[in-house]
Amino acid sequence: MRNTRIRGRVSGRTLTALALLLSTLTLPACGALGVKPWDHDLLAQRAMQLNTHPHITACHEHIYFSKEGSSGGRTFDGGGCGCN
Amino acid sequence: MPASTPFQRDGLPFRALSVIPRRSALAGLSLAPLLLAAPTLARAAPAEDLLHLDSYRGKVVYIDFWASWCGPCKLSFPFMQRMLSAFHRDDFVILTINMDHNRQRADAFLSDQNQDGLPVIYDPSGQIAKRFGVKAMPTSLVVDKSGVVRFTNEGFFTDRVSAYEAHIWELLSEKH
Amino acid sequence: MQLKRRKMSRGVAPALGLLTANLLLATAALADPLGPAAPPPVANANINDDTETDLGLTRVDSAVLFYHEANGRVQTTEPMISVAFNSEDGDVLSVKLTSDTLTGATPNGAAPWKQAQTFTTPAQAPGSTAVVTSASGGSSLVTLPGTGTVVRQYTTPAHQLPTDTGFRDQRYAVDAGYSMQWSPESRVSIGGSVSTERDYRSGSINAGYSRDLFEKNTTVSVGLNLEFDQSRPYFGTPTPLTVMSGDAKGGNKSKTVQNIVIGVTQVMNRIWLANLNYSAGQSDGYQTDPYRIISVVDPVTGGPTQYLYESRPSSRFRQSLYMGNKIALGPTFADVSVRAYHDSWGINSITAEINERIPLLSWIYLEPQARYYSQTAATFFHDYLVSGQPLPTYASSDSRLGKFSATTLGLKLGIKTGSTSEFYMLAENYKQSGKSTNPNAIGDLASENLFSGVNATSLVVGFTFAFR
Repeated sequence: MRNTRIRGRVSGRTLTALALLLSTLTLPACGALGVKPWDHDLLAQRAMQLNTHPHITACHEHIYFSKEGSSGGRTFDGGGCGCN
Repeated sequence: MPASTPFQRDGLPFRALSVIPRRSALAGLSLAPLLLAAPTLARAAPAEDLLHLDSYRGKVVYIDFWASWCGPCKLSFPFMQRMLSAFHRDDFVILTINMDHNRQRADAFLSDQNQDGLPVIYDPSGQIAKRFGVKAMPTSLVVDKSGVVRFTNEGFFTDRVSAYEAHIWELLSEKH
Repeated sequence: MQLKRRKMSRGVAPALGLLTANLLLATAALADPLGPAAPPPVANANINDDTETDLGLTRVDSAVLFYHEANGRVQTTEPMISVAFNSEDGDVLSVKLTSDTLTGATPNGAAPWKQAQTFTTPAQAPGSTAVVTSASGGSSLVTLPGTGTVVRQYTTPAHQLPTDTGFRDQRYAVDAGYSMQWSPESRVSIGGSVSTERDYRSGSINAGYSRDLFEKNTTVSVGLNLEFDQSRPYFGTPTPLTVMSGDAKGGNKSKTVQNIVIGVTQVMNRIWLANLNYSAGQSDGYQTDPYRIISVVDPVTGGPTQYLYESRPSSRFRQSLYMGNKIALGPTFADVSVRAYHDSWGINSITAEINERIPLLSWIYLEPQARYYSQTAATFFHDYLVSGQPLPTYASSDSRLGKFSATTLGLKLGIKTGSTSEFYMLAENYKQSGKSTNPNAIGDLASENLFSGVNATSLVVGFTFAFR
């Protein structure tokens, strides 16, 4: 049990540090990634959206939240045709 | 940039990459798409030539960049149709530029829109859009009678239709 | 008994329900009203060539979940329906109704034993004189000699995992959200939800903001969620780590949850969209399962000497880092994601999922799915406690807090019934595996299966359509 707790603490700090590192590294680089506004054709496909079936996602979140110890993680903004 | 020398031939980007510290490797890698696009940029013709805009001198030109996969474009076409009927005069022209990679999808969109009288110029490689500095889809530009781009609208919003109309009126009432 | 599922923080779920409304705006489209003329055939036309958007449409999406666990455990039927009103300029108002009917048995937390075990719970709600007249499946009402108190008792046969067949429960939930285009580069959303069932109530509000950068190749978003939950167990709330009995229990308990999600979505190239989210949540208040017990066993034989109500900490801080990807690989679309999770109860987990949408004809696709999950145990998780040893402050034998891994295998089918409508169906099997026998367990417990994870099959059937 004590080992789990120590592993847990390291893991928690690592998680936050990893998140901060990834965000500082990726955000400036984000400016150089991507496509021209008129090249969003594939990204505009329904199948390419981050949450194609909201009810299925909700069912999964409900089942996994109820039967496992973890929860959360997703948001769904971004991608798509990039119009307007 | 000399039109005849593709960017990567002088070797500069590759030399630069070798001295970039590992930390910046990610930033360096992200330059790759730009390098790939560079040759096209180097050889593109001036935008005005691509659209023969000089032949529309003395007229107000409404240029609309659209694609079959663009939702708001579905709403902008009826608007343009209305503008064509409302401003049915010799000094008003609408040009639509299609950005689809797949020509058939563009044609399917046009047939569904039942549109009539709006000229379509196909720009699958994006040359025209690039030279006009298109930053969003759809984009409409309104060019005045002396050939100057006076209004740029990024996106198409139905609650701004009166503003779009006003732009056209304003330029139409100017003397050449 | 109750709590076939943890009805605790719905965490990001309400925010999700609302934020998905954004999704409807983000897709761009080929205008394809159901007109008389069919569009000319498109090269490589398949069901994945669908760029329809919901701008200006009202979308109705309805589905039912049938969930069934093996061995007489929990079964639920959960119908849901949502309506989203999309304006032409990208504002969305959405409402979702969900109902949930639950039956079946849940492990009560006690360890199995080589002899039959009998468990005692109250037979009436605190302060009430009404007594449960027909206890469901397998339990009976017994009058205790001497006191004349009526209690409910049930017996688990030898070598079986003790479960309480529980009460049928009904849950109703309403979620609503409004999302608007704040400026051409940003969106704002707000929402709320309410959920109620006999022994639990939950309410939440959420708000979100997202901003596009770099010609909409990058979207950064932040979402906040606040939730208030009230636990109202049928027979009152027992004092943690007291002996399981038919005595009257305490009153209702509550907890609050605060959650934040920060995300970046990045168009990597024409065929790849990546999404990275960091979320953190703090739960404060009552987080114990009021119906669960833990066995205290003899240090030599492993036989149960008493059953104590479990106890969990009243504070929990969770964090997760999630990375999702959508990749257009030729005619198919792949969805690959990974999530790392850690919380202050000591649970660390890793989740990996992959789905691949494969078009079969122009109007039908199949999407095989696989998910792998693995978690470590909470610091206070114990299969059982040992008599004579000092009682820990917190203890729970709930396998959902234990060490286990789980695999889901599923197949989704989609049938395009119109330009904006689809019939969809997903069949899945979800199996948890943990250490089934522990040779280091005390006495005869070494030959018992102490793991009470689930093995479930589920089916979601849904239909969605949109109109002007």
